[in-house]
Amino acid sequence: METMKRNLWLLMMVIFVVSLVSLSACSRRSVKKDRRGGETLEEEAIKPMSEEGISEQELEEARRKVAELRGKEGAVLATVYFEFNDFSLSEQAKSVLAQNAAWLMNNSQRDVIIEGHCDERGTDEYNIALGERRANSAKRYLISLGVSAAQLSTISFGEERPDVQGHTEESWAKNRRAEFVVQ
Amino acid sequence: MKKIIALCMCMMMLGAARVLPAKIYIYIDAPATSKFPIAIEPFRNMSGVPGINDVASSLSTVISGDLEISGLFRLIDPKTFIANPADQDMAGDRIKWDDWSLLGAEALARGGVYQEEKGLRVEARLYDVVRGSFLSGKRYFGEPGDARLMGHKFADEIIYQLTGQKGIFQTKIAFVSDRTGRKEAYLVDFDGKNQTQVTSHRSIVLSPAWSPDGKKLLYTSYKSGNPDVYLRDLFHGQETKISHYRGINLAPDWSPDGGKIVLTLSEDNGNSDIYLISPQGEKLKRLTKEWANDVSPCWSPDGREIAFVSNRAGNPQIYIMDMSTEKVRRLTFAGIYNTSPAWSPRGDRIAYASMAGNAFSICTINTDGSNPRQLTDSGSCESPAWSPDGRHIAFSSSRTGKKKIHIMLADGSGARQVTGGEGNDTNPSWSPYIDYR
Repeated sequence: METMKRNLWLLMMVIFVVSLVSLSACSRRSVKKDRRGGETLEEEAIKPMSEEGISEQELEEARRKVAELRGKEGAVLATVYFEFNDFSLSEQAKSVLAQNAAWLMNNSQRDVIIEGHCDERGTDEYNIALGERRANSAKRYLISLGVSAAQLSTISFGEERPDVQGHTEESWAKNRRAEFVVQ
Repeated sequence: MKKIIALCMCMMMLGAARVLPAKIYIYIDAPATSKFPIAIEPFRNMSGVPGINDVASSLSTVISGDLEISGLFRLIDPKTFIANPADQDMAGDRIKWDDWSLLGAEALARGGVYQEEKGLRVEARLYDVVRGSFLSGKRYFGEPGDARLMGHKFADEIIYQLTGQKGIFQTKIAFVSDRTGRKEAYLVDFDGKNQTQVTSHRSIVLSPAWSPDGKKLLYTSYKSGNPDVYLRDLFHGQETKISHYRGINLAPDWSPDGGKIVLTLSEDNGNSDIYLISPQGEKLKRLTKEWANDVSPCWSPDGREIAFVSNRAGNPQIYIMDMSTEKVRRLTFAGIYNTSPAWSPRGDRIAYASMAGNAFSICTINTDGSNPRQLTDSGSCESPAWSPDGRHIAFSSSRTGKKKIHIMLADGSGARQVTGGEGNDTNPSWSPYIDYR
């Protein structure tokens, strides 16, 4: 019931924001480094974060925070965690991503692969799709904060590469994640 | 496998040309009332050479094992067989039918192994005990190492003669195992023998799927960094990367007519959708355009529909798409996590894995959503795959500790473990009918 309500709300948000933003939604042409070297030019339609139900106001606030963080020393790339069968970004996740955005903007020459991972529950195939959504949630939020899309690529490992072994909620929580790997 | 084919195990009818069986003894489609009683006489060493005793006993063991797994037979205990000293050769005219009907047998299979100049000759015959008549005979040539294959072939012949339908005893199951520390694709005979490693990618291999001719295998592999789809020719060992679009290229399923492949791609901002590609990898059509994750598509046996998994209603459930209208209907409603659909080759049922708590069980359901049935209740059981005759389901299960491949009859009875040893074995895919003639 809870999920249904949330989905309905999400859907309404999508319709609302998409209709608002569709005029300004940009299709950026970006040069993206192929993972195996070489460059491919591709048209990448970067959708706004509307699907995750994040408002422009909230994004403005986050962008100010990123600008602040960029001035500080010692920012590092940290892992973002998710709820079971979910790829939406928690407040905690957004705050980690703001830090990561600061690092990425300060190191704009470095490329990063965002790896999406899941816990062991669920089927292998469904979890690869879910991991892909997690990696892309993180990627799109970073882009919304001002990180260059050309710095970011994604890959999903589903449940194939757990961070910790174990069959408890504690282990599972650590495995539902988006990890940032510097190239 | 190659050696056996190269050997060209000649096989010929002892009687006339192959015709449809004159009488159907076992109606496979009818609800099983009672099992058909059959006697498998221990195969004989006809040349008296000690070396072929093992071949003879292996033949009767394989045939008995196959018929047992089919779930159609009651095997008469060989200990009760009545010795007939007059019956020293393989000709049927000296069989004392009363000795067999007394034990309740309605059919009798018997055979012998002969030492030839080059290799072995096996002769096997099937009789109708009630009528006292010959039903079928086969002669096979090979080496001692071919005993199991010859046994499977004759067991298939018994099924054909008594049911009028093809047997599955020469089929194989493809699966994924992490026994080397990495997930690779493997093959195993349906009865658990002859395990062979197919890939050595030292990466992650997932979701093997057979071509309709049983000669090729599709799978997803991270071999070159991204989850891409590969096609391997099982006879020549040649491997081609056929789908490597941006994002995930996942869990392909080959159409029954061989012309198309359905799979999951995620080009659209990481959103997984179902696509149609050619066997060469050209994108033909995007089939779903949902906000949700759409994965694990599988074809109906007539190629007119596909079943797939989507979380468009919040949780993963099974949906069916009509391929001509692209209209989608929801199939499963019970439970919060239903995945891995597999369409029965008979067309009437869809098997899937349903999660309750943290464990999965295998279920089947009619294609209109009626009559759902849970088939497993021990261990976490995932990834159902139908045998080509639609009478068996292979699945992975943790019921004996590590995840292993098991098979069972389509009603959930007769479960048995197929793979053993180290590591986790998952993602089974049952081959089409194979006959290495």
